[in-house]
Amino acid sequence: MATPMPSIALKMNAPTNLSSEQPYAVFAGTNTGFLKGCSFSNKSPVNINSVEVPVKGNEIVDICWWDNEKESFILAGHKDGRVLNYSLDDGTVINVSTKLTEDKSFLRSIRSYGNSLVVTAFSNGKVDCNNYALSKSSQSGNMVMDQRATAVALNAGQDLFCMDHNISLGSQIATGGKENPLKIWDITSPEQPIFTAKNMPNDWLNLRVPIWVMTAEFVPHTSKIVSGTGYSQIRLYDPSAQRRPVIEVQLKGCKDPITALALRPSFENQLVVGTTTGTLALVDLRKKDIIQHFKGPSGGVTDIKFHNSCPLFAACGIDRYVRFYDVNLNKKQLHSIYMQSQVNCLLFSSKSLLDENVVGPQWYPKSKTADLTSENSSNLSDQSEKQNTEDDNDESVWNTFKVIQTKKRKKQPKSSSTGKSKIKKV
Amino acid sequence: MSLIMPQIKNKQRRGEVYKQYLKEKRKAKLEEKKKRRKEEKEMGAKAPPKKKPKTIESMRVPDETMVDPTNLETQLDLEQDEMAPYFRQETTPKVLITTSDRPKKKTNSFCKELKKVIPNSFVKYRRGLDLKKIIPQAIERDFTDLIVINEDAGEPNGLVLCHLPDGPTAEFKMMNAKLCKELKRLGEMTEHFPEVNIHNFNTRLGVTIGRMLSCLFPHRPNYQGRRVVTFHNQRDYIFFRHHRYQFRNTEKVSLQELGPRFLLRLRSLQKGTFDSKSGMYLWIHKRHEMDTSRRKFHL
Repeated sequence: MATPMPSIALKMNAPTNLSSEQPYAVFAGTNTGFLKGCSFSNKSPVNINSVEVPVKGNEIVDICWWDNEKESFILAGHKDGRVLNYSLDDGTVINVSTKLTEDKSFLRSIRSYGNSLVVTAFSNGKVDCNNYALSKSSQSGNMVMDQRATAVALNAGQDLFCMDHNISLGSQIATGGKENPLKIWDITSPEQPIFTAKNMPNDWLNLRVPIWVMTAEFVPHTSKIVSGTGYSQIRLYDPSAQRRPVIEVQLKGCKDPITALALRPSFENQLVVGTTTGTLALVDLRKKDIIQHFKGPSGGVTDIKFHNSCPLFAACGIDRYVRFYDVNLNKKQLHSIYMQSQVNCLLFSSKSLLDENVVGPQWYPKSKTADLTSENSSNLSDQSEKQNTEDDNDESVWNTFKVIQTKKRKKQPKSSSTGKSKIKKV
Repeated sequence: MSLIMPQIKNKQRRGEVYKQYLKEKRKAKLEEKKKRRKEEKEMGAKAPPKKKPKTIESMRVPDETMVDPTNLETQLDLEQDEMAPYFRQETTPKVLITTSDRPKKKTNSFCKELKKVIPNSFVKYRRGLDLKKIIPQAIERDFTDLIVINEDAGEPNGLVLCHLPDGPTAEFKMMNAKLCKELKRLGEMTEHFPEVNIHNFNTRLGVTIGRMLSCLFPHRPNYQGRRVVTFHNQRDYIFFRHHRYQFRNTEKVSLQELGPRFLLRLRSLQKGTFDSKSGMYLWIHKRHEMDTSRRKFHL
């Protein structure tokens, strides 16, 4: 970009840290500005970049993959509006945009799509959609992000809290905030939202229900969207059906805002939510209740992410820990990593091999995990095929078992029971 | 001996044997002590070091959040937290002390004594105002901290410490609050700026709490006044004491207690100013999850 790098430069550490021998399982962005990588086997995280000056704007608010297939570039959105692209292969930092935020607004979230589109959302409601191309500059030989097409800017209204991008429908964006209902936008027509959620009907005292959308996430491969509110409700919207939520769940015994939410892959109606007081729970939308609480977080949860092939998820919070849980196993954490500064966002790498010490081998037979992690594909069709083959295998296993027959005891014929035995024989 | 004892069936005989056993035990202990003293006298400095007593604290479960002051990242984190302007000497503390609604006599006099302890502090009557309404007004008037004393049955039992203008907020349970009147052999308080002694706050959470507490007092203590305010953390209980010290000779120092006493226990630490409904918590004490081991401490 034409503007020079800001004075608060972030340097990448020596690329030796990023050797591909042991890829990091999880990347985390912290409030001090460090981007960290951690693995299951190691208790201490590694800093990928280095920060020298303590400035509040350095805080990494959100991270995402620049290339979802190869997973070699990470986009990190800083609080003051800068977006940096960290290359994991050669350890370089590419400055994507230096558009610093105005007055008091700050970056809320960042998403990328199809190796070109970068969507950044700010707290004052501005959403910028830019197209970039990664190329080598002719002068210095360094990688440069060039802005391609004209930028699209949306105004999603004051007090924006969340933004999500629909991966299956590349042009859809969802936004929401405080007194700012959930809206779905089409990038190609940025003037009007294509869907605006209608507020819930008045309560039993005929008072207006306040709106506070804290998080929102598209259900994969659909246009449905799940949102968590500041009054501990979870709502499932189906834009094709109605403007009010199709399903609404009020968490029982919990009045804290939902700050993080993650849908469980291959389970349509289950999701994990985290609140400001450190409640972490698996919720079923159909059952409208909490299925399981997870123990561990001592402070507010900021982000939850699922592994895309194992029933494993990670939660991070401002208690400076990243914790790993198994959804099926039990409520205790499998592994926790102390990160030294408050963690804002998480990103799972699908390259990571799971360690048997962390994940119980009884849940993941060796061959299965190797298969899944090597292919890295998360297509639904593939998964369903795999499931089919697994089912077949299961049946063949049953056939190999011997049928155990219980021997009948030969009873000594007593004088009184002789009559009955005779009847049976007949 | 202890093996035979339970097998003796006669109660009287058993009791006698047990008494004998205790006597021998005591004797052995005394002899051991005598021997050690003799050794110390003979060998002087070369004597084997004293055995350290086994306490809950010495057997503390290792905590990975222990702060290493040389760590660059922690330094960076501390330099940009909310208390950093005070430690950069950019702000001077100004403290607002208030109570819960309709305070009883003890809470009122406790506030007055707290006002004497903390220089540049002001006691204000609550007047039934919401904390969320007080805080913006206090920020406008350049207050840097807000202390709220809560009471139950006339006894102060809670303390909310809110750093202004943007947090954090700590909520403490207060126990054993003793006014000056209730203490014996007390000295007269002076108006010199006190020295602050923050002791044994070692984890990352503890450091934040320690920084919040030291933020209440002005930067330059008056060493002539020899007033010292102590916050001592022991097993997650924070002891508050207020003393004047005096050097008797080059070796001996004597202390005279001055002010009120109280004991604090952290309940929660919240990001931002007081907002118990929708505020983000940095740490919350969860009894059933956290208090599983007696040897695990958080501060």
